[in-house]
Amino acid sequence: MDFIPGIDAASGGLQAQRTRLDIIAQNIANAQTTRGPDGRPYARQVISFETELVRRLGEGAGATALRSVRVAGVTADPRPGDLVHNPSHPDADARGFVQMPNVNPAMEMVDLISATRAYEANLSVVKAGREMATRTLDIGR
Amino acid sequence: MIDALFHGENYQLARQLLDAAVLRHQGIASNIANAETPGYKRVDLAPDFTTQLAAAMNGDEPGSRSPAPRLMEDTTATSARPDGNNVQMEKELMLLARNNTEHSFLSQVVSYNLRSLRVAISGKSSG
Amino acid sequence: MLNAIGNLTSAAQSLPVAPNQLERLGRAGKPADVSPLKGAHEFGNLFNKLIDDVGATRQTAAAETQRVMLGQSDQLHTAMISLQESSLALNLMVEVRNKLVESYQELMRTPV
Repeated sequence: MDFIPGIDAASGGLQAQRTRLDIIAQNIANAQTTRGPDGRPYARQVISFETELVRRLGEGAGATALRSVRVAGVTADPRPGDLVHNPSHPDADARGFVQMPNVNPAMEMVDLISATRAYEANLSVVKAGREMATRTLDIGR
Repeated sequence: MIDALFHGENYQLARQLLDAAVLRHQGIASNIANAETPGYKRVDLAPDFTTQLAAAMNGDEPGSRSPAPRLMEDTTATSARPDGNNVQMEKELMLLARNNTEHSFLSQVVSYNLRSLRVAISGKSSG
Repeated sequence: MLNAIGNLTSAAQSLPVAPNQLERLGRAGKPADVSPLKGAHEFGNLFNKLIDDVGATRQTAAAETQRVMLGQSDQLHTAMISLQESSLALNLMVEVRNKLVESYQELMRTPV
């Protein structure tokens, strides 16, 4: 029941963007992790979204689906990272090269800004919906 | 007699447009939530809604009594992304603000009509 | 419109008839140029004009609002102002009517 219009759709968006922000933060934090729990360098995590049916609006032929978004999955980016020559590094291989994670901090920052803006946009939806609901309660006064 | 009280043309029009504004807000909410979803196509109010309303008001088409607003895919939106998603965030945010203002105006019109009725009935002019 | 209100209020004030005019009524024996009756006519006309004025503001508000709602005009402020003006005009008319009824009732209570 959507007393505040649009809040069902927006809350899905907020959660999805929040998860995306978490993933980006994790990537940035692990940009230098050359050895993870499995002994291999950290693999950049990529999030993917899909639409989620909230409910149907109206009945019969004129009914449309009100759709929100949800996280479809988080997968590892298969592309290899850079090989950096650093023989003194504890994880250097026989030739003195270290396999760095495939995280590009600049790219992650761009993604971070994009995710933040998407999050704020969903917040605007909630704010506008709340204003509409408050106004509605004052009709006739 | 009670029914006739609320037959004012503008009053009825404003009420229907209010329904449409709320529905449109939900459509915009869906668009913004799915701004990054691959393959998602933006939705909006059916573009002929206002013209249908005006026609029903003037009695042009006898069959069209108060059309119901509905959301449908916006066929005029172009996709700039390879994954087929045609949502433009700036446009959606602008529509969000504009729809909010429209909702405010329409609820003022409804309030005005109700208040006038109340003043006329009770003989008490409220501030 | 404000002129009409000014005239109305002064006409309303002259409702309790002034003593010298009453005298004239009694002496002359015929209404001829009797101010109170003439005042009453003017008064009725003024009130009718007030009602018409209020009706006119409501028409304007309805027309302007409809144009905005149907998308024929984007001048929100014009519609809002005409709504508020017409609302105030209605309030004014109701207040005037209430004051008149009050004065009439007070008049009727005056011991003869």
